[in-house]
This record gives sequence, C-alpha cells and structure tokens, in this order.
Amino acid sequence: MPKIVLTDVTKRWGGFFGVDHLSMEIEDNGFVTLLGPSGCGKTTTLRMIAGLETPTSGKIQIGDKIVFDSEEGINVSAANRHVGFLFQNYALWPHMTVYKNITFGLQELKDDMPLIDSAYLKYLGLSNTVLNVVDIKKFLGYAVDKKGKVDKDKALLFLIDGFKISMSAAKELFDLHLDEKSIEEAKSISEAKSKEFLDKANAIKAQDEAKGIHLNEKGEYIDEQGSVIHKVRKLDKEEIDLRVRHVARIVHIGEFMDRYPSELSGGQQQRVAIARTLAPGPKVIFMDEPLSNLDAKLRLEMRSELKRLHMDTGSTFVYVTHDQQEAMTLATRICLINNGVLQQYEPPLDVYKKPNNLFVADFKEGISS
Amino acid sequence: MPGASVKKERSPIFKIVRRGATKTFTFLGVPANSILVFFAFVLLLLNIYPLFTLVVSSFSVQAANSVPVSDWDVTVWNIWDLGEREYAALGSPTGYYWWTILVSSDLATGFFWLPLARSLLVSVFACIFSIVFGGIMAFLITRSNMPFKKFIGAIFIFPYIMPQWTLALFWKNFFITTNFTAYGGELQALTGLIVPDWMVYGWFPIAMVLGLHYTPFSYILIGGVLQNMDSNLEEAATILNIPRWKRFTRVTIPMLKPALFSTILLVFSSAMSSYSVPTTLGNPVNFYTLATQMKSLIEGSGGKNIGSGYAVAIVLILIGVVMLIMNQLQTGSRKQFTTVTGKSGQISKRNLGKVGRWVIGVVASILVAFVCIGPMVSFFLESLLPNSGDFSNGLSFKAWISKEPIGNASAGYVGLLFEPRVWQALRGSVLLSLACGLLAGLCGLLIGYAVSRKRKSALGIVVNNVAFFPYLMPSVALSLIFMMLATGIGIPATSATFGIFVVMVIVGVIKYIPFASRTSLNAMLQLSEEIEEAGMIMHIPWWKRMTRIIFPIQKAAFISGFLLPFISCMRELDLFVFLGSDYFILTRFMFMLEDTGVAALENAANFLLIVIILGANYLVNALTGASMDKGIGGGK
Repeated sequence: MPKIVLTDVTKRWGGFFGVDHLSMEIEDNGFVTLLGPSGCGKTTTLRMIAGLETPTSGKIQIGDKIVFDSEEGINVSAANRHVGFLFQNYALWPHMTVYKNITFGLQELKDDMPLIDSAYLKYLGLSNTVLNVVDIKKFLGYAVDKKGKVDKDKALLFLIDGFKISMSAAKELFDLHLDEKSIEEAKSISEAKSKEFLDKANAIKAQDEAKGIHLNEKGEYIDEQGSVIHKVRKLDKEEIDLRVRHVARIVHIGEFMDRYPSELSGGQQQRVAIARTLAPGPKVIFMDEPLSNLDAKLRLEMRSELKRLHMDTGSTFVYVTHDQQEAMTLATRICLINNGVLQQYEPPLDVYKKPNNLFVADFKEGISS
Repeated sequence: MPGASVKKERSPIFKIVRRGATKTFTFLGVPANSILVFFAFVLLLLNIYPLFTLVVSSFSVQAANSVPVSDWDVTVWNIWDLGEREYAALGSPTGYYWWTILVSSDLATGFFWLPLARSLLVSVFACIFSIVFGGIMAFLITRSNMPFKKFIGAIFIFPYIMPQWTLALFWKNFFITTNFTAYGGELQALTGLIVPDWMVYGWFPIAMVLGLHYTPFSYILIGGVLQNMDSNLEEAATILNIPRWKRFTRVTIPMLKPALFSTILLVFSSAMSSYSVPTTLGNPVNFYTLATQMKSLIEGSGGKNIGSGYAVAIVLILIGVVMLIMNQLQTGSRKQFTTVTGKSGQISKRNLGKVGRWVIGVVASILVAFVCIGPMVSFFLESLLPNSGDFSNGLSFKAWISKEPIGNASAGYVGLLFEPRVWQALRGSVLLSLACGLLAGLCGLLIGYAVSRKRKSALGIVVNNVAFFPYLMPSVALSLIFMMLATGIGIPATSATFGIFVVMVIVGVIKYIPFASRTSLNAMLQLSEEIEEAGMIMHIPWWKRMTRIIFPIQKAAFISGFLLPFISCMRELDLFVFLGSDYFILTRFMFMLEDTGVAALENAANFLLIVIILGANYLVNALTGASMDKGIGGGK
C-alpha cells in the first residue's frame, strides 16, 4: 500500500532554498508530522508531495507510482495522485452547501469498484430496518419540538444516523408516520411494510436477472463463477448519499448539511473540511496545520478526533504543524525540519530523548512536561 | 523481462528526446501553462507584427511622386517653382516622413510639434480636472455625511459610460454662440449669455470634456481605495494625537498614491490619443492634436503625407509605451501596499456641519446632474428642434418619426425610428459588441486565471504585459494598423463586408482584453488558490473547477469582464474610424451625421445610443450585480 518516498527533493526560488535535498520515507499507515519553526519549508514539502507545488529537482514516489521525477520529466498532476488534503484555511467552497461541498468531489470519483445495485440493497436493508419499531419510535421521539410535533428534518437525521441509512431510505421510514401509531398498530404496519420492501427488492432482483445480471446478497454483480464483477466507474446517487452520511457521522456534522460555510463556526467548518477530505476514501491524507485556527479546547478535542480517524481509516497521515506538543501527541514519527534541511526523523520519544543536534534539543524545549 | 532489456539498449539521444517530450507534455498538461503559451503566441503575433509593419511603412515611400529624392528642405510652396523634381520610387526606403515631422523647417511645426504641444496641454488639464473633481466627489461620497449620496453615486458614472464625443456634442449644444451658428446654443437661448469663443472651440473645451469623461474613472479608483482602506491605519494616527491635516497628508495621501498615479497615467495617455473629442471641438477652429493631425495627414493631400501620419501614429504609440513602463515601475516598486484588508467596517465619516452638509449636497447634486443627465436632456431637446438652437419655432418630433426626408434632402434621411440605415447600424453595433464582449471576456478570463496561477514565471509576466499593452496603444493608431493589414490582405477597409467585421472584432478584442484580463486577474487574486486546489485534489477536472467553483464564486467580477468590453465597444468610435463603412456601426453613423447638417437627427441618435448603453449597463447590473462602477457605491 502507499508508502511515500522522497529522494533528494529540492525546492529553490532563485538562490533561496525552500527545501534542501530532502530524502525521507513515510511508511504505510504511519502518522508523520512535519515539524519546524514557521517558514522552514514544511508546508512546501507537503504541497510538493500532494502535487500542488513543483519541486525544482528530486523524485517523489507514492505507493509504487513515481509521481514526480525531475530527471525523467515526470510530474503527475495533483488530480491524479489520489490523495486527500486538508487545507489550513479549509478552502470550503463558499457557494456550495455543506452537502454539496462533500458530494462535489464524490461525483467525480472514478475508481475500480464492484458493480452494485443500490436500489436492491436499499429495499433489502429497509425490510430489516423497518422491523425495529421501538428504535424508529425512539428516534422520531428525539425530534419532537416544543409544540409536541415531530420535526421532519430532525427526524430524518436521527433515522439516518441511527440506522446508518441514506436520506431516501430515511424518507421511506418517516413516511410511515409510526410516531402517531400505538406500538401494536406500528408493529403490524411495519411487518406488512417489511414484506412489501422485501418484495420490492426481489422484484428488482428479478428484473436484473431478466437482463442477465446476477446479484449476490451484498447487492454486487457476480459472474457465473460467483465472483464479484469489478469495474472502473462512478458512484451512483444512493452510494454518494450513504458516503456523505457516513463521513458526516464521523465528524458529527449531520445537522449542518444545508448550511453554507459562512453560516458555520470555525470548528464546524473544520469538521466539514475533514469530512470532505475523507469522503473519497484517500489512502494518504495530508494536513496543513489544520488545528491552528481553533481555540484551545476545540484543538484538544480535534486532536484526539484525528488520532481516532487515523486508526479508523487506516490511511497514511502526513501532518504539518509548528506546535511541538501537537507533533508529540499525534505522530508515530516526527520529521523535524529547519531552513529546508531535515534535522531528525524519528519516533517522538527518540526525538525527545536523543536529539540529533542543538537545534532539535532547543526546539523540543517547547514541549511542556 | 524482455521489455527491460530493450530499454537498456535505447540510445542516449532517444532518452533525451523522450525526456523532453515527457517534460513538454507535463508542462502543457497544466491548463494554466497551455493557456499562457497560446496567448503568448497569439498576442505577440497580433501586437508585434502589426507594429512592425507600421514602423517599416513609415520608413518606406507610400505614394508615388510624393517623396523627393533630394532637396527635402525646400519650402512646400516653392516646390512648384522648382519645376520637374525627381521622386523616390514607391516602396523604396526613406527617412523623409520622419524628417517631415521632426526636423523639416516648414512642415515639422504644423505636422507634429504644435499638435504635440496642444495634445500635452489638453491632457495635462484633463488630468488635473478629473483628479480634482473625481477625488473631491470620491471623498464626499465615501468619507463624509453629505446627503444625496445614493443619487450622485448612481449617476456619476454616466459620463464614463457615454461615448466621449457625445459629451463634446453636449458641450457644443450648450455653449455654442451666434458667433458660430445662426441660433447659438442652449445657454444663449435660455439666458442670452454669449460665452467667449475659446470656451466653445479649442483647447479649453477639449480639456474639459476629456476631463469630465475621465472624472468617474478617477472617482472609482480613488473612491475604491478610500472606501476599502483599513481605517485602523488612520485611527492609529489619531491615537498618536497627530493633527488631522498631517494625518491626511502623511497617511491618507501616501496610501492613495498608487491609485492617483495610475489614474494620471491612464487619463493622460487616453487623453493624448483621443480622436473624436478634438475632432468635434477642435477641427472647426483648426485646432489639431496629435491624433486628429494623424488622421488628416493620412487622409488629406491625396495620400501624399500618409507616411508622416504613420510616423505620428508611432509617436503616439511610443508615448503609450512610456506610460506603460512608468506604470509598471510604479506597481513593481516596494511601496505597493495592500489597501484592502476587508476590515474596514467603521470608516469615520467627516462631519460637514448641519448647514454645510446640505449646501454641499445640493451643489454637488446640481453639478453632477448637469454633467451626467444634462447631455441626455440636451440631446432630447435638440432632437425636437427643426433648426439647431432655435427654440422660437416650437418643438417637433420630426427627427424621430418623420417618414419624409428631413434636413439636407440629398442625404435623404427620414425620421430616426423609420430610417433603415439607423437600424442597420444599430444591428451592426450590437453584433460587434456582443462578439467583442464575449471573446474579449473569455480571453480575459483565461488570461487572468493563467496569470494568477503563474505570475512569477517568465511566461506569466510576458503574457500579463502583452495583454495589457493594447490598453495604452492609442485606439486610432490601432485602427490605422489594422486598416493597413486588412488592405494588405485584400479586404477593403471601408467596406461593409463580413471580412471587415472580422477585422473589427479582432481589433476590439485586442483593445478590450486589458479590461477583461485585469478584472478577472483581480477577481482571481482575491480567491485563495486553496479553493481551486481543494477541487484539484478531489480529481475534479479543470473545466469543471472553472465552471463550477471559480466562476460562480466570483461571478459578478467575471461578468464585469464581459460587460466592460461590451459597453466599451457599443460606445467606441476611435477604434473603428478607419474600419468599416459609415453605416456599419451606430457610432460611426452618428459621427458622420455631424457633417450632413441634420442636427436634430444626430441628437436623436445620440439620445438613443446613450439610452441603449445605460440600459445595457443597468440590465446587466440588475441581473448579475456586476457593473462598470463596482466597488464604490453611494449610500453605504
């Protein structure tokens, strides 16, 4: 999987070296922080790996693909490096709602994926979900407003997050209006509905069969041997919605979907930015001082959030910061840079206990013990 | 692996070629790069090549029997006494034309030095006037509690949107006296006042009209800075207890300096090269400026002096180039400050006093209304007069609706609304402006984008400057150059063919690319690059990033980039004086009417044109929020 290798990477502006012959290797699934005083070249390094900046010379490899090589004249554009990038100022598109911000990239995502019939999956899933009458009633109950009426938008969100379903599926559940019924009534309705959903799912399956398409129980297309058919394709609407809801749950932004970035607080914007970065499921995620705009409390919270994300996603994280403490707590390895030159690249405790040189020794003093 | 062994045997030359190809491919794969390469090529070709032709032409004999082989410095009037002279062959190299305008004892003064002095005089006064008037209005609107700001802000831009020479005509309509025409102008008709002749024709009215035309321009530039300037800068001085006048001269004025400087440069060079205003207000009293002198050299004397005209055109261009270089030095200097911080919420407004504010407000409103709405009133009134300036015969709508020929019978013009040639010209103008607006806007958008992304690269700097160059290239000179080119490839320049339409579109696009590219560059620079990069990272293709992310966010600014060329083209005359027939576009048509003696018709047509232009401006403004005067508004 993606291991990032930098060989002799240099960025020069006239006579000024932004990054000076940097060679390093970022192991797969690592959490590496690029640490150093401001203006030392850490952001430049990150942007070069992501393809947003062109190195003057050197070689960069992501996974087994060479994305930049000045010798050979190779320079894969950022769009084709398949990485995620979290910008310092979030770079949310101000004219799009949160939902649109996240889906815009997903609509463009093209990958080798199993072919699936999401309509079939939806109804199959619904036929099970609808039987959880107690839970449905509970979620609807959460959405009761002061006047005792169920707020539809809120209710839908609770259903989406509670059952991990899409918006269209949530609407089907909501339209049963189970909150207005007694338990017994609701149960009988839901049982009937469950059958109806199952019939629908089976009807879809039958239709597919008629077209010569075979589905397995996960809704994936299979060939005669029973193996799943993969194809380079885009995501369909239902899949996109499910993904958005999934990342929204991770960073708790479900309720902001229809807002514009300017209507969110800094911390909320940041979470939207994270969701947008995570949604396409990149194997490598770059972060450029993502917490520097947040207040102290939120910063601490987000720190542990990021750590959790790293474990959950299993992606490689490269993280730029000038905050020693942040680097120490988050990283599996710290890459300490000064004036564009690599000073030390080792796990946090080694950097702390065995500084390579005076600069490292001095810089780690910033860490409160 | 067989593939690997083959690879090893490749010759070093193959490797170099392959590497070069990969590099080129990667380089051009970045949209900004390929846009820059394309425009560097096209713009250099369209700017440099014609210029080159012009220079060559000025150094070669342009008409048979016009350039003597020897005895250049023989007084023109004596030429006939010399009997048969020997003339240089057509097309042979000669320095005669330059000699006539720079050195010749009897020609140079009239051909060049006097017009140059007049141009300088007019331009300097136009500059001073526009900066003082525009600056005061900008200050009053952004920094004082003067009333009627909204009204003034709404109409103050009009003189800039109107064609230059319509203002000149307004001046003439208003101030002309019985010394020149049978009935005099509106002022005389209404008050009996007869102004001195120098106020009617000559340097003073030309300078005033040009100054008025460019006043909104300096008002926008200065007002923009005043409004967006971080008030903390001034407040910091206040806190330090620095007296008000010192604060103004040491903090505010220096902050304004870049805006003032570019206003001066642009107004000065535009005034230098203006053609239509000096024609209207100078020609009747033989007051020629460089631009009008050039035209008469080229078209007069049976083409004998055409080369001297080219030489004058080159001087005009050189002046433009010097201005561009000065502007470049200024903007390149380290004293270029960002005045827009976005944190200018509470600008302290100067209190003009309880009585003072109303007095100033009323005076300013009347003044502005006279300059901005006056022309329309005047044109409409005059369009109703059977004889120009004669109010005694009552008013009639003949010039608008008559189906019988009016005025000079030989021209055979019927009322404006039924005159087919008017409608034909209007159609021509709209088509031309649409084509120019769309193309120039699109080119400007792409150039602005590409330059903003690569503004530190050599290519980016080249394209940025070459795209801006035509701004300071005098319109008349540009028109002349393309007339030469068109004639060169066999398109008769004064025809009404599709060929000449294409040439006019090309000229228009070149001329207006500077507006469009500056507008879009500014819009791009306001937009953090991260916004696009976020899309790039998410595999969103370039055209989609442009159409779905960048364009929608800066919609108003970008649309201004399309609107500016459109409206500029609708009111353009100088740029097309040498191109197309008289009936081809509305401005040319109206300018020609000036000579046919149907003043009422001409005034009606002027009124129509202004209404169309203001209407278009208003429409786009209402639809998109974009407008020519975006950035400063009254009432805020």
